[in-house]
Amino acid sequence: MASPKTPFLRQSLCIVTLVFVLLMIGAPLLLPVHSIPDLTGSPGIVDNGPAIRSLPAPWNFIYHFGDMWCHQRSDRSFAIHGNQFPVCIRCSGIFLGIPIGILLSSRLKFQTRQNAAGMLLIVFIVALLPIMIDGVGQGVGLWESSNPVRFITGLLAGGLSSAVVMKGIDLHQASTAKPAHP
Amino acid sequence: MTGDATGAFIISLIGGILMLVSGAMSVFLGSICGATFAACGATGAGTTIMLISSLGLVASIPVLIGSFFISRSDMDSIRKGSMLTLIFGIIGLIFGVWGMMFLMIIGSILALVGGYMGYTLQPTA
Repeated sequence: MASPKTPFLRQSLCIVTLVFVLLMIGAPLLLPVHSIPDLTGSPGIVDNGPAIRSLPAPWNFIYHFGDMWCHQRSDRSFAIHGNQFPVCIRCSGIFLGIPIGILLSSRLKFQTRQNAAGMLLIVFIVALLPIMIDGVGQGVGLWESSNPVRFITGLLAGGLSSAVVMKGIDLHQASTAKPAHP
Repeated sequence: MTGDATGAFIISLIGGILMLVSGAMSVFLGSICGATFAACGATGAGTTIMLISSLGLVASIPVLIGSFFISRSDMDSIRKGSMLTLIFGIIGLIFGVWGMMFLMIIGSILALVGGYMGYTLQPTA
C-alpha cells in the first residue's frame, strides 16, 4: 500500500516531466517556420551553440539540453513546421514514456512484498532489452533500425523504467509509513 | 527485524545497472576518442577522456555490490550497503557531470536515492 506522501510525489514528478514533454513539443511548434537549422551532432558535446543561443527563452534552454543530451540527427528526429525536435525520435519516446510510466505505476500490483523485487526487475529488463538490442544491433552494423521502431523502443524504456522506479519509491514509502493508531 | 528494503534495493540496483551501461558505452566510445586524440598528439586529452570513462565504470561496481547488501535482511548489512551506494553514487555523479554522461548522472542520482532510502530505513519490532 502506498503512503499518503506518494500520490503527492507521483503527481509532482508527473507534472514536471509532462511540462518538459510539452516544452519539447512546443518548441518546434511555436517557433517560426524553418527557424531551426540542421542540428546533427554528437551527444555530450555542445555543437550548435551559436544557433541555439539566438533562440528566445525557454526554447533556447530546451534546445541546449537536447544538444548536450542527444545526437539530434535530423533524419532521426521528428519535425513540425520544418523545425526539428530538440531530441531524436528514440529520446522523444523515452521522455514521452516517463510521465506515462509514472501515472501507470499506481496500477502495478503485487500479490506479496516478496515477489515485488523479482517482478520489478523483470519489468526493468523487459524495458531495456528492446532498446539495447535495437541500439547495439544498429551500432555494430547488423541492421538499420527504422524510426517507428526507435520510437516504440524508447517509449517502452522510458515508460516501464520510470514505472519501476516509482513503484520502488511506493514500496519504500509503504514500509516506512507509521501504522495508524486505533 | 528490519523494515522492508525492497524499494531501496530496486532503486539502487537500477542506478547501478544504468551506471554500468553508461560506463561501458563511455569506455568503448572514450577509448576510440582518446586514441584518436592521442594519435593527433594531444596525449593529455586522450588520457583524460579514457580516465573519466573508466572511473565512471569502476564506480558502478561498488554501487551494484551495495545494492545486494541492501537486499539482505539484517540492518547492519543494509547500512553498509547504503553507505557504499551513497559514496560511489557521489563519485559516479562527479564523473558523470565532468564527462557530460547523462545516463551516468541519472544512474548516480538513482543510486543516491536508493542509498538514502536504505540508510534511513528504520528497524521494526
